[in-house]
Amino acid sequence: MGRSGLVRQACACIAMLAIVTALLGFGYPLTVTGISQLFFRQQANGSLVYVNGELRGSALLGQNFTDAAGAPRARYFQPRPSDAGAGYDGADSGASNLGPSNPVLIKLVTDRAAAYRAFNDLPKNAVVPVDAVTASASGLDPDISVANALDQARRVARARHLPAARVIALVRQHTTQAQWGFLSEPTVNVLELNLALDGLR
Amino acid sequence: MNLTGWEQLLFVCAVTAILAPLLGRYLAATFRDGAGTKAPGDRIFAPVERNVYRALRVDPESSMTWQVYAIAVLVFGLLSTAVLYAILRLQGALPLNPTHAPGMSPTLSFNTAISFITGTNWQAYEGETQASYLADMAGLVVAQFTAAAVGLAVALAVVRGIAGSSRRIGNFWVDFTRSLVRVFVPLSVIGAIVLVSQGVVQNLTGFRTASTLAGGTQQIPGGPVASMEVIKLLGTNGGSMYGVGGAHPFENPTGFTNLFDLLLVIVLPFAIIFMFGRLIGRPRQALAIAAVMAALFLGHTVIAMQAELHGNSQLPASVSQVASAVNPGGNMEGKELRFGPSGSALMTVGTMGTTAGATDSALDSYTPVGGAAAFVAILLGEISPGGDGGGLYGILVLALLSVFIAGLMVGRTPEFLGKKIRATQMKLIVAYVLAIPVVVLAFASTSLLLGSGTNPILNPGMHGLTEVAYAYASVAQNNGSAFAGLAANTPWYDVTLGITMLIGRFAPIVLALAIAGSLAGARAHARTRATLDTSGPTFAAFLVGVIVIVGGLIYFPMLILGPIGERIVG
Repeated sequence: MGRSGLVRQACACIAMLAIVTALLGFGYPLTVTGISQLFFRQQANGSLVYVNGELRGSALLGQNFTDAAGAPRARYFQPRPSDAGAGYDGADSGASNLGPSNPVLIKLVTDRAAAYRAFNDLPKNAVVPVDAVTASASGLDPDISVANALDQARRVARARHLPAARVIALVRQHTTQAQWGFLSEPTVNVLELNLALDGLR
Repeated sequence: MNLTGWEQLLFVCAVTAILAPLLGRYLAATFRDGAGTKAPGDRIFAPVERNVYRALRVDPESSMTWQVYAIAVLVFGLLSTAVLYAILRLQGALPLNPTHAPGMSPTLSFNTAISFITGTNWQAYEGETQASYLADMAGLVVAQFTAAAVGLAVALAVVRGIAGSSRRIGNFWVDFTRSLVRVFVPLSVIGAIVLVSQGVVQNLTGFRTASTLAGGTQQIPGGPVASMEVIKLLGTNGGSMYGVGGAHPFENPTGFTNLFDLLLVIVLPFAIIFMFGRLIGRPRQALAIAAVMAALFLGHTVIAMQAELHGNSQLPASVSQVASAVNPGGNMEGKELRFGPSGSALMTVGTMGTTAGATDSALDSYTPVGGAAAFVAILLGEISPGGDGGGLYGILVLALLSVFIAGLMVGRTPEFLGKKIRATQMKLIVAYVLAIPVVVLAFASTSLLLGSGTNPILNPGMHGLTEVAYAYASVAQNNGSAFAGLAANTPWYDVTLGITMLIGRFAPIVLALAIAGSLAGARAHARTRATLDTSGPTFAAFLVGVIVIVGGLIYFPMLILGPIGERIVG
């Protein structure tokens, strides 16, 4: 191939780059944005949860239920441990990335299990659900397992002076069964459950 | 494995088995050669394509030699890398930047630009805060489309060379344009809308601030996520808007999207195999290759699902990792609850045999066996089922190698699709097989000798070695997934990983085109009784053996020092 051939290919490259940048870089995402905002406004904007006109979070994102000092608040169901920033930081999603054999991970999990038992008034030898003591992949996991929610129910009931049965019934009510029966695991959405507790939902 | 995991796997296999042959038929009708051939959707697509060819001043009827084809691919790669580099450097001063991302550093821009142009999508930057919406849309998404189209185009050229009778192997611009117009863009628009309906976000708002129930605040991210997510997967790219990719609830909100994402990744590479069978008029050949890919896919995916469901043996016994109706159990560190251990492993390790490397969980926290399954899927050369196009030309080269070895063993002249494999081809094939391991092993071992290589390692011991080795193998195969404990945004890693990606992408492309070009002029011999059957189960099993032995021999020492050692010692 002569030099003119190379020049011809380079010119075609430049023209193609201009075309794809205009059509795929702007045309395509803006079209999809338009269609989404028209037909799936709620989903496209992040499944936002408003209470009395105030933005309280997203149904898809976990959030902290801690006091100003960072301690978990007994009146709320607690989400999984989080490695997104300082915990459930929506601007800094992240996992611990600790390896399975890393002593730091083993100690973290052991300490969290002890703290979970103490916080929820469980017996010293109680078995703790694994999701309660491990951090999620995003650090923004909105869900906990049913086992984890049931273990927390009595403590929440006590803190709110409610009968335990009523809180447990609320957990059952807010349990999402597996999508199509097998596409996902059964989950409890912590924000939805706590909103229900506060009587806001 | 529990029932849920098997049901999900069965669902994915069934949908793939139905859709891939159908899509393959559409692809074959779209890319069949010959002037005046009608293709589905001509009424809509043909006028668009004509305008593109006119703008490019390209004659769509002309065909290229393999050298011209390769030069077009390389020049396009070079120019688009330069443009993307400029966008990333300047994004802070450009519009559409509601999250106020500053311009990336020179080494990070170098790494990121190459990463997306090569379809690797290794992300050393933090998605939420370090890339502007403009960079995501006009830079990274464009690169994801073009990388996918280049892969498919090269595969088409290789097929023409290996199976055709002309010395010319097609027109890059025609293959590239048709791939985009008739495959990637329409499927992306549909896929993006499906994702949004499930809760994937698609807006241009930037962060919103929520006041949480407990009295704090939370930043809620936005962005044109769905439009990127779909081509990230469909184009076997893997790069996300957000740092944690497919684990983020805004990218992958439900069990449905989790498996839909996996299907977006694997259906097209399988369909390309079926297209190949139709284009060469030998559907049985395609079936044999698809069977090899499916066997490898099932191998690494099932092993990982089983290992993750079994859990982390190092955790105290007082933590319940046993699956039950109220507790998904398993190794849940670095996994999302809605996917559970087996659904996470299915999606994450299922995409490891493609160049997507899209993950919904943190590989660094996988059990040694689960992590090794992902690692091996990469090391075997990304052919289960591989990237869009890359899977096809990758396995064709290995099939040529297998034919040669089998020919030596039984004393027959090695030939594939009627064409004799000679010394010219074998030299190129061996170069193809060795190019990536040489780069991976050289850079990985050098990194372990240097402070700038070992300081960014997070986990101690053998797991730390895996982090480094995995990084080079992943980017060399244009996979881009990571044992993310490695803090890889350092000048050493940015630059060496960038170089590795370039070699890992373009050396195989040029060599595959050269092999195809060297066969392009050759005369096809008629099948006789002495011809080795390359479409039967014997050859398929032999091909699996060659793939495993070649990959195994090259990388076995590294695997012993990494995940296998960790499993035995731990």
